[in-house]
Amino acid sequence: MAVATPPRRSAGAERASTTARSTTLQRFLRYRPGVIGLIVLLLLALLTIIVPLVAGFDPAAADANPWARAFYAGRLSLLIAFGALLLGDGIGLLLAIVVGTSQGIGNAIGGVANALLAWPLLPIALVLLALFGPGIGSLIVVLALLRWPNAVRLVRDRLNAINDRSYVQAARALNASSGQIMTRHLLPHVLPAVAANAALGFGSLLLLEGAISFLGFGVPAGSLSWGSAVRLDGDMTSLWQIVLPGLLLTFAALCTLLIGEGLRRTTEARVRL
Amino acid sequence: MTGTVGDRALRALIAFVVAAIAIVLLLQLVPQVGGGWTTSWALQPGMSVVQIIASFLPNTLLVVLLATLISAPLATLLGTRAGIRSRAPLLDSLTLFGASLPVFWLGLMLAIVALQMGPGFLLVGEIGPTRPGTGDINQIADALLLERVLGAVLPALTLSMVGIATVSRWVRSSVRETQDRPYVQMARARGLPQQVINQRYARSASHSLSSALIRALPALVGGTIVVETVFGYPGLGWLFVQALRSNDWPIVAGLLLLLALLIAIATTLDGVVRGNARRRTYA
Repeated sequence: MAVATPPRRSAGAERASTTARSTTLQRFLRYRPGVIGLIVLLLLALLTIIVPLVAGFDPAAADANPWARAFYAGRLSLLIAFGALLLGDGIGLLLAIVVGTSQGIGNAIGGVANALLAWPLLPIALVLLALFGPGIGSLIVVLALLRWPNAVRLVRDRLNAINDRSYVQAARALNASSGQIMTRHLLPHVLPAVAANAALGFGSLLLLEGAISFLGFGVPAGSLSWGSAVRLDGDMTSLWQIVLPGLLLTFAALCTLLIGEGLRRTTEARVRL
Repeated sequence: MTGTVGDRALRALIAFVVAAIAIVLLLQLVPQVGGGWTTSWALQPGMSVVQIIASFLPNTLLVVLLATLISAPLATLLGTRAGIRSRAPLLDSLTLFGASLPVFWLGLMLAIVALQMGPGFLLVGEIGPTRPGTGDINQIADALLLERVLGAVLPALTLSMVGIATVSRWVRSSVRETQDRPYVQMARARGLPQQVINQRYARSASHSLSSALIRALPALVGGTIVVETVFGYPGLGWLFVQALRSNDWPIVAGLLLLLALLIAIATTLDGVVRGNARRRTYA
């Protein structure tokens, strides 16, 4: 999922940069827990596809294998969180670039983002979903709506921090266009932070989706996600039916925290350079 | 000083008014079925919204107070300890695990354990989000004090587990930052005993703690909604979910306005606290 894009560099520079200036990817690989988190999360995503197929899972059957059921539920949770993350952070990144380049609209967007950030996400999500009705599509859209201010604030802060650096000023003095400055000099320094933020955001979206679907406002009735799988309605045949989905969700969230920490470290090293 | 506080209060007031207008606009989408916007439509038809919210408020305050009393000291202690050492793998992994726990699931697990302890052990309501009926609101809100206090224990415990994990990580990073501050390096250079230095860490952590408690407000509100619903505990979060489920929009609107007010107050306080802390650090 959210792997940081290494900054563009020529092949020669790449070879020379083994110790002092390593790429973002190399720096990420150096943080073991982050790498393990990434592997486990990918494995978990793979298992949500494989396990129900192998175990012959029937979502309608009450006495289904709890493991197959828990992994099956993960499909929808991961899909919704990932969709909302792409949509929300994509919108956020675009808006943040507008914020960073133009003053007037930028301040307005920044103000709206800041005001939204003070609000807890769950009640707003519940109100919106109660108004628009439950559903996978509406859940993704609502989560994305709540997500974008986060990305805007992060990118805005980062852009402000490096906007006055000497190399940016030098590029400006050399008459580089604002688009060139953005893609060559600003974005490469912002994207690792965006990736770290996205990794953490993926986990919190998973947890938020779980809470919403658990309360019955998220995925439509009858469909399984990690949240709706632990609702106490229907026929429960074993305790594992509610223990396992929560455990898998916890592990997925833990993985995103580790990945986020690993990515954060790469950005820290960058700032010190 | 007064200028900045007034300035912040004014800004918070503007934010509150904007939020209130947004809430009113949003509620124009609601299909108008019941009567006016001041009385309940479905849960307790005809009863004043203010009265209903006021009768549920004490229960939520009890849960939040209890959770804060449990989590604030523990979070400070753990966060400071983890921050002082350069490496604290056990504490780090414990808090990481705690921060990844889904509140609704953790609450459910605790509820199941409580159910094993015997009927009605620390539980006042029915467990789970599927509680169908509305019940008599008055009866629920007027439950015995002892029953309310006992019922608040498990929700508060669930909330504080997640709270400790999150807040202690903030405290830890603030203590780590403090280690590089000149006055701490100075203290170390003077050869002051570690205990004295630790006290200075703790003081710095306590500054960030008050700010952290305000920063934790959004998570606390979300957590209260989930936890109260899981345990069927009659507080504002439970009321919110029930009102949404039965399309009782005046109650929803009232609760959202209350939340907007709370946020306005919290952001003002946060600004004041941070301003004070900054002054002290750089003075």
